[in-house]
Amino acid sequence: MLEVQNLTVRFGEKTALDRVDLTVTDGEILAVLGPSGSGKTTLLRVIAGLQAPESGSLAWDGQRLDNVASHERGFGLMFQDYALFPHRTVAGNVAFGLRMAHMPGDRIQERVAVVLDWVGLPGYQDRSVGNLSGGEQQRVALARALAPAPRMLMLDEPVGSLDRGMRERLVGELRHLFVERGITTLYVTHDQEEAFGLADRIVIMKDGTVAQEGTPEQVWHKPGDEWVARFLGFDNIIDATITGGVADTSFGSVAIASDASGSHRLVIRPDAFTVSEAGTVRGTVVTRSFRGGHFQLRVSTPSGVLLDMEIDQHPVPDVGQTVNLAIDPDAVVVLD
Amino acid sequence: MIRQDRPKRPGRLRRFVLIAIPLGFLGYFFIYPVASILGISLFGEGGFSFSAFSAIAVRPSLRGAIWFTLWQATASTLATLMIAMPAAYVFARFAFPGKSFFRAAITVPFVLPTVVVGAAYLAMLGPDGPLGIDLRQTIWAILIAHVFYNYAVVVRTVGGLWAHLDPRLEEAARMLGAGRWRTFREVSLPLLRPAIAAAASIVFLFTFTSFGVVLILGGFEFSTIEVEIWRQTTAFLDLPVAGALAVVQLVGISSILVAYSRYQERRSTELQLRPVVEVAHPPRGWRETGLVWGVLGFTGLFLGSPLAVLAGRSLRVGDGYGLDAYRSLGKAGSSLVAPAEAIGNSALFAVAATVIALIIGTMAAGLIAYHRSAVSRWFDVLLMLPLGTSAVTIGFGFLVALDTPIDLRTAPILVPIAHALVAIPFVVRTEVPVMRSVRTRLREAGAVLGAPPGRVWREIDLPLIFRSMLVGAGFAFAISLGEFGATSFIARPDAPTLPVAIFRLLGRAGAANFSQAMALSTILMGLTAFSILAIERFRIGEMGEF
Repeated sequence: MLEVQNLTVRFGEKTALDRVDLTVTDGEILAVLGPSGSGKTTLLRVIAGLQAPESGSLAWDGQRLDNVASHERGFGLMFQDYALFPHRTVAGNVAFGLRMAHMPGDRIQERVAVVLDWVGLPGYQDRSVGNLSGGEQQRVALARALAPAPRMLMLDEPVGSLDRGMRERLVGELRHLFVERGITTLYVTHDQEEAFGLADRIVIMKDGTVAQEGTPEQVWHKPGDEWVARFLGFDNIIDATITGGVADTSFGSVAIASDASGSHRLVIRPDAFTVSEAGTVRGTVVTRSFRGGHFQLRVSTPSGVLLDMEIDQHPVPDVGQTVNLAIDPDAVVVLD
Repeated sequence: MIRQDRPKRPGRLRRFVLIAIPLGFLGYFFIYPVASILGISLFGEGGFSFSAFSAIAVRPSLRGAIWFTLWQATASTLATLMIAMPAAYVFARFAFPGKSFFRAAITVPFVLPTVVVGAAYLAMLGPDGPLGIDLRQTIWAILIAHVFYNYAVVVRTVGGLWAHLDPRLEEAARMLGAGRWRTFREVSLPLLRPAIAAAASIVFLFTFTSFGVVLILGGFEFSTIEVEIWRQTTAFLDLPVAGALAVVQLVGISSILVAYSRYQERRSTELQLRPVVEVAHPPRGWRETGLVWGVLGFTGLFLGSPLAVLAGRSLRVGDGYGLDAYRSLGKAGSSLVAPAEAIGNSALFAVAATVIALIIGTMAAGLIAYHRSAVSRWFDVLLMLPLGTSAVTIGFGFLVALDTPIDLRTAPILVPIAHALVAIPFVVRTEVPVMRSVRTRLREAGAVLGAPPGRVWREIDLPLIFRSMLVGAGFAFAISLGEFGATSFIARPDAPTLPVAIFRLLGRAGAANFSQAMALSTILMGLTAFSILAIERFRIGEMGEF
């Protein structure tokens, strides 16, 4: 189990990490999610021992890591740009950590074959890393990090540079691999879909601090504050006055599933809306775009509030049409 | 629960060794000898006295040497710039068959040993030469040899920038009504000024410290400060005056270097902004074709003929041709040892010098490339000093300093150490950029995969910088083969190197000795060309840093 306590890192004037606490339990897949510059990569580098913290402590199973050099920590790290050794073959790259661990030559060969199998590159041993596609390089980097059976695997935006289809497939494969092999994983990304699809638990970072943590469902259903809600792409954030389970807004009353009362900010998730004659909110469709499984609509209410929504029913109203909208109380989040 | 481990400081010892060994080497074999020269110039005759320095100001022969050094260096620099400028233009602006071969070929004179160049021009400009005029012991022979030597410096430095100048600037000037000459003077020349200044400083520095060429071609008529130091030491045994001359020369060289680096600093940002445009095109029309082939023809003739005459002269037997001169190398004759032995000596010394220069140079390069700090920047400058200091000063310094604590002056290892000292800056300059280009990520990846720092260096850095080490080794080998200034002081009479043996043979009367000198020079030329060609195979890109 990894325990990070009170970790602070400063680069000159700038504070990259500000008193961060974090734990990764054995066998867990933890995703650290945040925009660029939020300190996620610094966090990984400190845990890997590539960057010295200004203060705070790191421990594995109760043993301090602060004075353990990178090469003695036993963690695996997959770099964002892969950092494959250009002067070695695929097998030479994957075998590197095994040789450092003094594994005998014949066992190294076996292990390299096994790990290349896991990542879907059987028989790639003698290829030169310079001639691989982006996806193949990504898999070799993963195999190299996995080969020495690290006690924890860390991945820094591992699929960031791949195209969308490849990325989605790989995220699924990665989760399958980590769960099946019981690999303790710390995964850093700026992409919420990747984090939601892969992780058991998510830590959201903002400006070097932890903004929220929880399971993907918890984070999705109850973003902790307005910043997290906006970062997750929830842009319907409005003022309301709540009395007895009903929120009074500038575009009418909205039922909510919360016992809060008084003045609050509300987040209405884009999946909350349905077009219905019985709907209480009226508005005019301003934009309409097809997104595959659903349509993305922007509706303007008479009071001038713009609401973004995902509609998957038929027929889909056209631009300029006036619609009545019903709002699912379970998809409305009351912020503190 | 949480246990505190004992703090470890990896890398401390490694860093100490990286600093201590090259610093100790430079300290004992460079700084200490140079300090001793200063000491002998001030305390040479017992107590403290400026008499050696005042002798320079008073004695006409010494004042003359300083004056000659300055004006011949200026004249050589101007002559080289003017004579090589057309070739710089042709190489920058035109595409022609065999261009990369021509470019490599014009670099060969630059790396030839001074003794070989001296010998070649003795044959070329002597009474038996193809021109039929005797220019030996005239300033013309010295100037021609200096232009021959530094032709490539101007072509590659000025031509390198010229190739990156946007030709549309010149076209714009032409459209505004400027003629060809006017365009060159008002547009191209000002834009080329940084490269011209760079080339001029390098040529000035090399000709300022010219030794072998002046010694062989100038006779007793002409001497540079460098030659005068040697003469005062070996002929007149006046060590204080030699020391004072060396100090004067050091001050001169340092001021040139400082002025030049100041100039470069002011210029560097401006230069980076220029776009790299591929501007070379095949010559169009009779005018351009004539220019390109005329310049190439001149270049080939100018650079090729002395070497061809040298090789031809080594094969001349009476009125015919034969290998007699080469066959006679095995016999001692009037020499102390058979000239052929010098080949073995030189090869052995060159191997030893290469090993020393690689070890010390790689450690120093590692310190400069990996530990970016005030110490390493300071170290960077310190390491370049032997290059700026003349070879004669190094040899002279060894002679006056290395008798304490143990007398090393007659130790055979001293020769390769002096050569290594001259070669180390080249090794460092070749390796540092490559070391810096190894991405930090790769080292981090190695560390995370369990490799301790030493292992990371061996498994990741070393394979990636290996080629640059080979290039550095080639340079060190070629430098050691041709080194004459320092060796002339410290080579033992019974163990001469090739340049020393050639110089001795040239100093003796008789056609047989002259033929032997030509034969040995041809062999040395072949060996040097071979090691330079070996370098070219491993080289990536242009010869940028001298």
